[in-house]
Amino acid sequence: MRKFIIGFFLFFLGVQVMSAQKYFTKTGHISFYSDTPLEKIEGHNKSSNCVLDVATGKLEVATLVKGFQFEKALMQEHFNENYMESDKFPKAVFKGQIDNYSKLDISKNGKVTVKVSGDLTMHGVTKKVTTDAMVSINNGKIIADASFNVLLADFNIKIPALVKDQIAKSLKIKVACTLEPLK
Amino acid sequence: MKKYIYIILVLAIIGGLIGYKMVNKSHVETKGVTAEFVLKPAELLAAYELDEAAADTKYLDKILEVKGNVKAINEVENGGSISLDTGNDMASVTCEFESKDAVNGIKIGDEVTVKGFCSGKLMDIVLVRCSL
Repeated sequence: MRKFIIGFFLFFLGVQVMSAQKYFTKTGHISFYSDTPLEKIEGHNKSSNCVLDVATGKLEVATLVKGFQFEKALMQEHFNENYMESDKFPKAVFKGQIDNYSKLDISKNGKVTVKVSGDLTMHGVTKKVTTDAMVSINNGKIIADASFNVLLADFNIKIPALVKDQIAKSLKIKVACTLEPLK
Repeated sequence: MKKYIYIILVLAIIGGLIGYKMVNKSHVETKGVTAEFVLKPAELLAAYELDEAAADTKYLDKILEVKGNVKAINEVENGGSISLDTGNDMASVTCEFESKDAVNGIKIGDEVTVKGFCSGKLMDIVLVRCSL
């Protein structure tokens, strides 16, 4: 009986330790910016997912293309129908890891800049992406910010000649997530 | 001759106005619009768990009306966001609002009816441009 109780206790302890390894959010903010002298375009998605395994430094970010909101309805329509083809490719996903990962100490507040690399898949194309990310720990939460550029041509996104001066060839993508322990 | 110039000028102005209207047309709102599908959060989740591709074909970009209990009120920048309980701890229905004011006064546990455009499922099913 005693063994059983100890076993039972250890089992739950194990579950607790395991569950505290992953940090996540379902309300990550991903935004992108196309900046040309003729037109500034930005889109925002505030329901992106991010999961970070603090034991290994592996992370995954996913977003729904149709969840991006624009100032103008027409921009949103073109983004979905002409460029991202969101009916065919509804998700954009990044799978990667923090390079040279040394375990984050969640118990101490602080800030650190890390290198993140991995595969970004959108519009049916997968490309390697590397970026710096700012990671700060604040009272048991992990706040992560990153920004990087992607070339539209890399993802097979074609811009018609008519609007080529209105849309930047290189987009700036920003990611901002506040991760909490997965319970 | 002068008459033709006037006619062309008027046509050009009308054309310009129509063009401007088209470029700046406003977003389709969900408020005051009849939803195409009325579902419970659990039904919507079940449809997505059964066959995501089929659920996407049926619901993506459509206005859904979902009635459920508020499980969480999410902090988002420049906007509002609430999650509705589906009975599954890992997956809820997240509803995004364009302004924070829209979700003012909503408390966890409240029963609300939300209309929004379905944008698909990650961990949660996400509705955007929501209204109550």
